[in-house]
Amino acid sequence: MKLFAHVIAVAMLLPGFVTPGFADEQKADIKLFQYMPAEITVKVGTTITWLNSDDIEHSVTSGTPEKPSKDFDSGYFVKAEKYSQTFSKAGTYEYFCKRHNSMKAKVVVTE
Amino acid sequence: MKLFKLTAATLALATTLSLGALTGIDPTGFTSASQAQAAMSPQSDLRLTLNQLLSEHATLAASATGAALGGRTKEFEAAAAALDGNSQDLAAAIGSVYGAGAGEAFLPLWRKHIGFFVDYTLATAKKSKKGKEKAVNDLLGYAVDFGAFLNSASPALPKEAVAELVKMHILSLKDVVDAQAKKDQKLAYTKIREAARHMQMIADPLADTIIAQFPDKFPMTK
Repeated sequence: MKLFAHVIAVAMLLPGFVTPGFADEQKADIKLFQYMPAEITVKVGTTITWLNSDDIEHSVTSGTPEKPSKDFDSGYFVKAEKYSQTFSKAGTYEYFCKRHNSMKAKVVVTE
Repeated sequence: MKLFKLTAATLALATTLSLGALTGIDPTGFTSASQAQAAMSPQSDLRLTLNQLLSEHATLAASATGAALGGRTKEFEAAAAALDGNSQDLAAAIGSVYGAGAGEAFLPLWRKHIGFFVDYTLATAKKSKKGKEKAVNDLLGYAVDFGAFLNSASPALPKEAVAELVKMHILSLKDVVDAQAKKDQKLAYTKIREAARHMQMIADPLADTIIAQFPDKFPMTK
């Protein structure tokens, strides 16, 4: 038991480590071809879950339509489906929908 | 002379009826307050606005494609600018109903199908069968997206039904472009009238749905 506690304590000190039980969670919506809210500010380690409420496929893809990045990409997901992404590094993450390039939003991750 | 008299009489009657509609005074002598009130109600305002804007969209789009195919650059630029002004008015109308964010989301989506029509017109001018097919496929794909947008805004509007109406709009404007490309002006103007009239099939159900969805915002009377 003591060993287990040590492992958890050490693991929590490692950069980028997210303990599911302790991590914050944030919900977001995709409705009427908009990411809601359009800007989310969270602490490092937070998991954001987007729910697609439109009856069409959308994606949550990092970067911009002109310059996608490789940070995350949900792929297409349809109505009532969800996509979760955990942010383990501070920074500003822009994202967009691959099918509807005018849909853009961002996540600001702080220490 | 007989024709002139008939035309003058028709114009006089039309003017009287139009003034009657504006003032709420029945030209036959009966005061029609309820008619005037109904004509000015938020419900009828919405219906008229949507019909006017969507019909204007079809005619301005036809003006732009006609000028583009005729090589009249300045006229095309003016028509395209007017068409975009119409798009912005439509987005403002959508925003006033569903919220500013919805209006902002609507505008690029709506402009997208105009861009696909520009592609179709350019491909037609170049006689590119491949280009035309791609533009038509893009437009049909867009119809599905637009159906989803309106369904999300008003769940009572079935996505598939909206998509079908938008497809009809696309095909009616495609007929206009094809007739313009053949320089068959008579056919082109017949198709422009059909395309403009068809917009009522989108405007009316949209207005009805919005009225049912937001009864407080759109009461029958002021």
